[in-house]
Amino acid sequence: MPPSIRACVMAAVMSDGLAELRRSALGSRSFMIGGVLTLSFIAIALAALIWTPYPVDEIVVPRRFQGISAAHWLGTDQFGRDLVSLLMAGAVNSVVVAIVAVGLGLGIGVPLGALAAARQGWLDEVLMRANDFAFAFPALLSAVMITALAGPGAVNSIIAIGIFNIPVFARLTRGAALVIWKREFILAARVAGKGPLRISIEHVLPNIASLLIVQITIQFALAILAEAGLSYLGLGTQPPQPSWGKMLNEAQTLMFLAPQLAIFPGAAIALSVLGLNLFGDGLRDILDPRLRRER
Amino acid sequence: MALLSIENLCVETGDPEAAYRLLDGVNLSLSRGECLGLVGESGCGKSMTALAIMGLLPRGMRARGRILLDGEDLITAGEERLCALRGRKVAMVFQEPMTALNPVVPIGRQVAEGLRLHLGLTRHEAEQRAAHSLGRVGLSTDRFPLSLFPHQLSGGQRQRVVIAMALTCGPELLVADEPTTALDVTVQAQILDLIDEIVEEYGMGLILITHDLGIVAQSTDSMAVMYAGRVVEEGPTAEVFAQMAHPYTRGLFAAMPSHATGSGAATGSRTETPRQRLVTIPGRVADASFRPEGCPFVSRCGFATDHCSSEKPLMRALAQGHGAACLNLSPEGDVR
Repeated sequence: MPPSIRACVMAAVMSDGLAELRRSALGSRSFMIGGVLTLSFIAIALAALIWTPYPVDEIVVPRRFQGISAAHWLGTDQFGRDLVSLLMAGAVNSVVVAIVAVGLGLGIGVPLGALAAARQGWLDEVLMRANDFAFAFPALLSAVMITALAGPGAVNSIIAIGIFNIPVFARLTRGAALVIWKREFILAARVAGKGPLRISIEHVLPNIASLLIVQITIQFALAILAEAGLSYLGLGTQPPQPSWGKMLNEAQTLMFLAPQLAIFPGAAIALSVLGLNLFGDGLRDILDPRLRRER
Repeated sequence: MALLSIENLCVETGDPEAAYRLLDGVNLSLSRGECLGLVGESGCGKSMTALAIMGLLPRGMRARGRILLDGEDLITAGEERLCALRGRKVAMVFQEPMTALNPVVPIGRQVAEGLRLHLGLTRHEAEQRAAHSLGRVGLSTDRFPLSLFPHQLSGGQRQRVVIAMALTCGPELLVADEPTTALDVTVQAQILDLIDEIVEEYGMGLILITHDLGIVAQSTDSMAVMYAGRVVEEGPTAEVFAQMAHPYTRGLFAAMPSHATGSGAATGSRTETPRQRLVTIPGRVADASFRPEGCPFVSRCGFATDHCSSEKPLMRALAQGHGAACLNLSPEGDVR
C-alpha cells in the first residue's frame, strides 16, 4: 500500500489500529458482498487475458443457438460463438475502458479541483463555472455527442466517459480541499515555507485520499454502465471486439428465440455495477467512521 | 542591529476609503537572544501581529509600515522570498498542537519536510536531522519512532513535535503564539522551559504571545501590552511589572486570579474567607469598525478625562526603554 493510503486508513481507525479495521471490514455486509463481486469480476477479466474456453471470435455456424450444456456452459450465440468466452472478453473490455476513463477523470479533475481550492478567487470561479457547464449535460448525452462528433469507437468512448468524469472529481476535490485548507496544519505548513503546490500534494491530497478512493469505485461502476450504454447504441466498442453492451444490442432482435443471449450479458453488467457500488459504499463506511455512526 | 524591528505597522481590511484598522501603528523591536512577551486580551491584535510578521495575513487584509528582519523589509518582499524565509529564518509554534500537525503524515516526515525544502537534504539526511531535532525536544527515537502518527501522541508530546518542526532549520526568530494555552498546567511549565532552553542554545529571538502574565514574568526580557491594535505600554518586563503605568496594564494585572490574600484576608478568619469575585475590566474591546478618535481604551478607563476621547495618545518615554501611551501620565509614570 502507498504511504498516503496507509496513512488515511491509520487515521480513520485511530488508535484502535488494524484489528478494528479488520473487524469493521468483516462486519460490513455490503463491503464483503461488493468485494467478492468486484474481485471475481476483475479475476474473470484477468483470466480472459490468458485463457477463454473457446477462441472469442471463432464462428461455427452449425453450433449456433445452443442452450446450456457441458461443452458450452452458457450456450452459443447466433454465430455459434461461445457465450462464456464472449462474456469473459467483454469483462476485459469493460475493465480497460473503466480504468482508462476514470484515470482520465482523476488525472485531470483532481489537479483542477486542487488548483481551484488553492488559488480561489477568479480562477476558482472560472474553473467551477466551467465545471457546472459540463455537469449540466447528462453524462451519457454528452458522451453520445462526443462520439457523434469524433466518430464511434472504443477510444472515443473512453475519452467521452473520461470527460464526464472530470467535473465529478474536480468538484469533489475542491470541496474537500477547501475544508482542509482551513485547518491549522496548513497554516503550519505555510509557516514552514511551503508553497501552494507542495501543500496541495503533501498535506491536502493525503487528507482527502479516502474520499477519492470511494468516489473512484463509484465512478468505475458508472463508467462500466456508460460503456455498455454507448456500445449498445453502436457508438462504443466496434465489432468484432466483444462488449457487453453490444451483446445486448445483438440479442435484442433474438429475445424470444434465445433469451439467454440477453439475460447473461445483462446480468454481467448488473452484477459488476452492483458489486462496485456495494464495495464503494462499504469502503466509505470503513474509511470514515464518523459517517457510519451518524446512520 | 536589531534582529526584528517593526515600525508603524498598520493592518487594514475593507474599502481603502473606509478601512477598518486592525493594527494601528505598532512599533516593536527585538534583538538576538532576547525574549519579547506580547500580552493583551482576545482580539487586541497579538496574533495579527504574528501573522503580519509571517506575511500570512488572511485574504483581504493589507499591511503598511515596515517589518525589518535583519534589515530586510518583509512587507515589500515577494511571496517567493517569503517562502524561502519562512521556516528558514522565521518559524512559528502554534496554540493547538492537535490541529497544527497533519493527522495523516508521520511525525518524522513532518519534521524532515522543512529540511528537505530549505536545506535541500536527501530523504535520509533529513530524517537523521529530524531524529536529532526530535531527540532535542525530548522525543528520542528509541521510544518515539519517526513513523508515529500525531494521534498516537499526547498533547504535550505533539507540542514538542511542533517545536521540533520550528527549530529544525535553525531559525533566527521564533514566534510562539500561545504555545501553552491548550496544554495542562504541569505540561505548560515543561514546554516553556524547553522553549527557553532552545532559544538560549540557538541564540534566536523569541516573540512569546500569551495572555498569561505569569508566563510573561517568568520567561520574557521585555514585554509589550497591546490593546485594540495598538501597543499601549512597553519596556523591560521587570520595569513594566514594577510600575504598570498604563491604566489598561493595571486592569490586566488586577484581573489576574490570585491566591494571595487580598481583600478576603481583611474580612477575618482564613477558613471562612468568602469566595471573591474575579476582578474584571468593565466593557469590552471597541469593535474595529467604530474605534474612537482618541484613546481606544477611553470607554473602559477609570482615569479618562475629556481630552482622552479626542486626542490620540502617543508613546511617552518614562524610563530607559519603558514607555506608555496615555495622556494622563505624569513624567514619573503615575496616572493623574
